[in-house]
Amino acid sequence: MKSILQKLASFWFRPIAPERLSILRLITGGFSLWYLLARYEMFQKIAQSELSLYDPVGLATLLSEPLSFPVFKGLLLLTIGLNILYILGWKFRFTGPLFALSLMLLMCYRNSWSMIYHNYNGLVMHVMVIGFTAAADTLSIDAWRQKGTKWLEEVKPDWQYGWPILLICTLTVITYVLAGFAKIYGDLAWDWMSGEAMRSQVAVDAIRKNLFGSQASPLFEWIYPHTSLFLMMGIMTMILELGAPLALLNQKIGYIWALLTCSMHWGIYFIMGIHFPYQMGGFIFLAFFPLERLWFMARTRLIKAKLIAQ
Amino acid sequence: MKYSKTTATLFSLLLIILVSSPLSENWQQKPKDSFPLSYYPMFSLKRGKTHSLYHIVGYDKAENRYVIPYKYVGSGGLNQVRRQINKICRKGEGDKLARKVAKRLAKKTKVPFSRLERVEVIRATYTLEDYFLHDNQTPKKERVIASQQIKRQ
Repeated sequence: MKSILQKLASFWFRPIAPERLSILRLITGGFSLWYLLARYEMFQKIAQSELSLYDPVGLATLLSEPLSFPVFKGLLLLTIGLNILYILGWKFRFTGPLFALSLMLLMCYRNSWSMIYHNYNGLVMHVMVIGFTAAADTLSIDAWRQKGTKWLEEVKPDWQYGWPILLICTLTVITYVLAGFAKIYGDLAWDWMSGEAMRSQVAVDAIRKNLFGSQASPLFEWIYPHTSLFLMMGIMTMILELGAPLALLNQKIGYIWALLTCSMHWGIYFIMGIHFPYQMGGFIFLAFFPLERLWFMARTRLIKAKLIAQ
Repeated sequence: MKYSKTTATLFSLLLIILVSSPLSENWQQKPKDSFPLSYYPMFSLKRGKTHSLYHIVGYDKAENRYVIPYKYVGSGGLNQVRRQINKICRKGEGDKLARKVAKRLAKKTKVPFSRLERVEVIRATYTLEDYFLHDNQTPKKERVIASQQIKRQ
């Protein structure tokens, strides 16, 4: 028992370079800022929807009634402000958790108006982990203020930066496993893999798009008669969703799983026209990759350029 | 923020348990989805050979029929607006919806919407095979829930 716990501890608390967590802070922060600014008008419109459409989810259930518009706008602006500080890594001890909580509340509220969107759960969860951990020890204003001109110097890998990465990977994997279980425990159980269900799902989606003034994918109309293609996609989806935990056990499997799952989202986009930017851009899978190497390469060039200049 | 190994373990376990907790929804009689703790039910539903839905169409003077884009009906994305329409129609407030859309369309200057004279909230049923295999986009059944003239000034 003791050795199992020891193995688990050494797996969970393995040292990782702090830059990976910092880069994830920069990327998740950049992504959420883009999301909030691009949908600034839409957020405001939704907050002024008819009250009868309000069906609170998540943190929004703590509110006794919908927020008044000025309060909502205040929350939106506060979240954008905190988002910028989160990216910069300024007084991250406070701004990190505050941003994570305000983004969570804002997104819960946004999903409380008759439809839950599943494409940003990953972003909110990742920010929750990053915001509450030591993600601004490098590549941040905090690091620059603390180290001054030595801010470029290498910081040793440490378990403090390893477990948040593993937690992000684990939470990502769990969401896919849950999606797989929902199919197995649904009405169709393992028959879901036959592809027939997926074909019907996509057909329904295409009809909806046509009748609501959007455009169904021409690719879907072309592949509709080919049931064997849907069978293959059904099996592949199940393997990727239920097999997701394997991605945690081995680095190479992690890479392959991340690439294939990212491709699955592109497939969904081409067939259904459903856009999952956080997944399609690969952002949800970045924690699986040694992002710090990119920074190391950039830093070497920066140092060389500095030396040449001197 | 740095933690002791015990605190880091507790924090990790808490999040892992929370994110996994919606799994139990699969055994509920009426599962309820949430955010961000979801059981990801999308694409898991069993679909029949037909599909029924509420949607909105407009007619011009020559009785040509046009689909009214979701952006003219409500706020949010397509599926969000679709659900809003479902909710309103199930509450028996189709008339109210038709009036709201007619009012919005009255302000439109873009053709063909500027030429529309009437809107209808419709409940239609389509056969999937006919729609995609036989290129037959005519609904199997159709029922007008509400109709409203568009009054322009």
